Amino acid sequence: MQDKEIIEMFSDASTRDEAFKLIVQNYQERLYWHIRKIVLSHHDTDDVLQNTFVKVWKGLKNFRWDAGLYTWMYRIATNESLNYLNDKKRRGFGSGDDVEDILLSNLEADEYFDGDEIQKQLQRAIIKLPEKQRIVFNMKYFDDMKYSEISEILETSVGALKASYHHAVKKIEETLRLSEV
Amino acid sequence: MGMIEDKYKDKNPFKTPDRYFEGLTDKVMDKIKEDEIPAKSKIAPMFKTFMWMAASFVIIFGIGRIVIPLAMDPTQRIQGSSSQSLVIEKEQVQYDELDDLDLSDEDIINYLSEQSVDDFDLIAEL
Repeated sequence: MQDKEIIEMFSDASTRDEAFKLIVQNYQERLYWHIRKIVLSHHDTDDVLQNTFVKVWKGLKNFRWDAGLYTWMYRIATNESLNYLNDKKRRGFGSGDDVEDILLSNLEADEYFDGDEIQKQLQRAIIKLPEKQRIVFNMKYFDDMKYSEISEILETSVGALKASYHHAVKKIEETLRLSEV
Repeated sequence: MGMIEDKYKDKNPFKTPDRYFEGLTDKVMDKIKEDEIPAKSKIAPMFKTFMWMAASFVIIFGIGRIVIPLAMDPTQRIQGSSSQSLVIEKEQVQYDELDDLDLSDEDIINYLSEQSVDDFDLIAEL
């Protein structure tokens, strides 16, 4: 079933729940992995993903097709993830005061991280990036998204995204090189 | 970009608990329904709590009004009781008026002997 048909079902109160279940089933995995790469721990991802779907439910009544449903939901998921981390920072979680410390502690404590030491080093290097570069790098490198898609989600020009990605790669390479010494 | 190019891309180091996605739809729907509980029914328990706090305050204040005067020393209690202090003040005024009459001891003895006061009355007065 196409997104448009599902949205029509959603606009009818008698089929609203059924329609929303379809949306969750269709997008849960993609949104989960997008959020997981931003917040890193499974438990935080679970919280953020549920909050994202609650926001989608509330906003879907006024949803307009300026952007696709998928793009709109990705945007909500990204904002929810960043808000979640900033909220955690405000409440003083993690060993330090920065989002970087929170993410490092999430990475070290996450029982659902199954990577080897090299993958952990890569994640540590990504954590060191500024917020925007981190998100752009994840979307481009791991999710293999097109710049035009990322541009719609993050509402940033393609040129700026290319520059962000380029800087991110350089910094990660530098961090990895230093950690090998 | 050779160093990280395609090197770590394909293997996802992150896992999820077993069958995590199977139960997610129900969890999300439950959270939405919970979130949709009207604000009125969320305010009602808050109002109830507030009423309980107010009632507790009134009870504690009432108990305080009874217990604190009993714990005070007798002198303070007389001063604290307005009806008792009025009686004391009235008696004091009467004694002051007698002083103003400038009576001698003899006048007083004569006055008492004219009164038909017997021993029984005196004991009763005590």
